[in-house]
Amino acid sequence: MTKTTAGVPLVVRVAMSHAAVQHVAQACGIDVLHIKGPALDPSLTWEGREGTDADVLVRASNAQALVEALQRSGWELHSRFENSSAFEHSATLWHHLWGYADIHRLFPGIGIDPDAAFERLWADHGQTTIADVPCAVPSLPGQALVLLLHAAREGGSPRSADDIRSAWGDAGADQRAAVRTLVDELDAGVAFAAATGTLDEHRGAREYDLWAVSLRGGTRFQEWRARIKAAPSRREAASLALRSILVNTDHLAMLRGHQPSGPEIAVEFFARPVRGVAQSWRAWRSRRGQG
Amino acid sequence: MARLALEARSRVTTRLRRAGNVATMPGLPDSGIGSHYVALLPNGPLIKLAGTASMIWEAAEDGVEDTLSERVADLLADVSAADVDADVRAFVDDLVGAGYLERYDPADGA
Repeated sequence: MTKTTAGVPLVVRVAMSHAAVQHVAQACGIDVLHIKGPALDPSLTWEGREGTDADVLVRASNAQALVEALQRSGWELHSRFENSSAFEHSATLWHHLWGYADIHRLFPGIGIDPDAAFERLWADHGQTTIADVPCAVPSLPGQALVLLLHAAREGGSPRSADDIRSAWGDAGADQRAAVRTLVDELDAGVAFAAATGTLDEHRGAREYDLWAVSLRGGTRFQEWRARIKAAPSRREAASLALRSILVNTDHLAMLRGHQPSGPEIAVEFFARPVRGVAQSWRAWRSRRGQG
Repeated sequence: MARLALEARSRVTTRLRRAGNVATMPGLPDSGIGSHYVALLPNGPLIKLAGTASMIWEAAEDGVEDTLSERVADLLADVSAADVDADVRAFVDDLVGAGYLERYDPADGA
């Protein structure tokens, strides 16, 4: 009879990560929707699709409390919400046994208030078991929409192409109609269009540039300009504009493998504008070369 | 006499089940040997039960403890319940002691 912890496959760690997050959330009375990976309905997944972390969505108003509860249960905060992406949507935590977990306080591409979006997805949620632990999941159309919105951010990778095929290309008429209804309810039209190849029909939308950069790539400067343009209010736009000049210390810590020191932050602060200018110059040269 | 009868009844009716804070996953099919990953939540440890240990785990989950050795012997073939009884009981005691399994009496409504 053998008992060992060596060589745990990633698929096992990811499932355990979902189970561990669920356990902590439940102990705190926080509702959690498990998304992607082992939470997916079998009809939406495909051979070889493997996740590397556990993704969950919570009410934005509960997100910080869940992060803190996880930190009290052996998880380390790797990246804060503000530093996760252009959308500031998730915090990444790491556990020495379970690996990574992404706590989403909103899902990029959904336009309505994050808590209202969670309530809508929670209203008709289903149930699955992950590592024998009961976990709440969005409805089937909800899961399909989450996959599509995520794929829109992946910029045409083979994985996102397979997700779009399973969530939309292979979907029947009823499933497509249910997804479209949800798109309208959640105000997710622009991101949905980015996933399904009709983004250019939304050129007038304030989020258009942000999804164009996510889908097709762009310089750091283009990304920040798109973020500021997509902000729902002038106040948020101003706040973003100020933050654009600050250094993402979480990202810097991951690159360097340790918490950056004062001088390192200063060096990075001055290096960023230089990198941004260099990227813009390269993009301009490439466009000229093609023209 | 009454106490002995009560103890005998208790042995027969006591069941084992996975503890409420335990997550489990079957091992990957290509590992060639039956296995289970079993984790205590929220913070571990995470253990892998392989071979006979995995078999006992599967038989123990929501089963009557008193007949566990017989069920394990049936699964192993070529051995009697008496042959494996001491090892099975010791292993189950380990799992209960570490918090992976718990004993309960269905009559208690637990």
